[in-house]
Amino acid sequence: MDGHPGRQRLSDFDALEDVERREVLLHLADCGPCRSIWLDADPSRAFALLEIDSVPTSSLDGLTARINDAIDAVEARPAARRAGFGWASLAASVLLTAVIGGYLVSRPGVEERPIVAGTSVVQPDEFAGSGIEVMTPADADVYDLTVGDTQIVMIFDERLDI
Amino acid sequence: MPLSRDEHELIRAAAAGDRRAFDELIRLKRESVVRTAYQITGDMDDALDVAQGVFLKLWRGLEQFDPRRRFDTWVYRITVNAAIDMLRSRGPRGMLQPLPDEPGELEAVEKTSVEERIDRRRLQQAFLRLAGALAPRQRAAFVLREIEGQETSEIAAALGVTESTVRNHLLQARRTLRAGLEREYPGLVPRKSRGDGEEGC
Repeated sequence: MDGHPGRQRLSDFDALEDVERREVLLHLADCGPCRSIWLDADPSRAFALLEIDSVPTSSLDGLTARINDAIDAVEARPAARRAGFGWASLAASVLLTAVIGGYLVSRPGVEERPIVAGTSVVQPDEFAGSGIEVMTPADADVYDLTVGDTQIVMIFDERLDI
Repeated sequence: MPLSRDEHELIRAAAAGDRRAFDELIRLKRESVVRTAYQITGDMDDALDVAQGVFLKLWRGLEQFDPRRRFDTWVYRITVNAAIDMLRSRGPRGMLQPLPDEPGELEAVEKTSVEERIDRRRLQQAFLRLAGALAPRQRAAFVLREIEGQETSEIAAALGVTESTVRNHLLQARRTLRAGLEREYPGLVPRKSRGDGEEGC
C-alpha cells in the first residue's frame, strides 16, 4: 500500500476485504499516527494486529506430516477391526449360547442332571415324577462345557424355541 | 470470501480420496487453523494437536460437506470447537509464550522507528494473559472477529449460536480486554490525541 490508508478506510476497517484488511494492518503495525486514529474508539482493536504474525513455517511443515501419519493410522484401523470382528463375533455367539443353554439346564429348581457330552445322552425317565420338564433330547446334540463349579451345557435342539 | 474454483476442485478431489488434493488443502488452511487454535488455547503444542484433529476430521467428513456452504466457516467451526474442548480439558496454562519470530522479521522491523512500531510480541503476551479471563466462547468470538476478521454471521455459524449472542460475546470480550489493557499494559498501545493523527491520515 502506498502512503496512509486514510480516515475512511480506517473507520471502515471492519468491512474491508481480506487482502485490503491485511494491507491496512501491515501499515498500522508500523504507523503510530494512523494507529492512534484506528484505536481511538477501542484500544482492544490492537489485538487485530496479531493476524499479521506468521505461524513458524517449521511448525506448519511438521504438521502436514503429522496429519498424514494420523490419517494412515486411522485408515489402517478399520481393516484390522474388520478382520478381528469375525472371530470376536463367533466367540461372543458361542459364549452367549453357552450361558443361555447353561441357564436353561441349571436354572433354580432344576435338579442336577447327569449330562455327558455327546448326542442323546440325557434320559427323560430319570426325571419322571420330579416335576421337572425335560425335553426329550432324542434328536438333540448336547455339549458339556462345564468349567470348575460352573455348569455350562449347550443343547442344540430344533424344538427349543430360544 | 467465496470459495475459489481451485479450492472447490480440491475439496471434491479430496472427498473422493485424493490424498494429494487433501495435502494441498492442508497447505492452504493450516496457518489460519493453527493461528486460531493458538489464540484460543494459548499454547502452540495444543494448537498443533487441535490442528491435527481438525484435518483428520475434515478428511473423514469431506464427503458430507455441502459445496453451497462456505468451506472456511465449516473449518472454523471444527477448529473453534476443538480448541474450546482443549481449553476446557486442560485448564489455564501458567506460562504462555508468544509465537516465535520468523526469520527475517527482525530485519523488516529495523526499517521502522521504534516509536512508530507496535511491539507485537508484547501485544501477543498481553492478549494471552488478558484473554485468560474470558469465557471460552467469548475468547473464540473475539479471535474470529478481531484476529481472523470473520463476519458476525460466520462466527455465529462457527460457534453454533445466534448473531445476537456473538455480539454479546464480543461486547463482553472487548470490555474485559480494554480494561485489562488500560490497567495492566498502559503503555503497550500508544495513543495520541485525535489531532496528532492528522499528519498520517
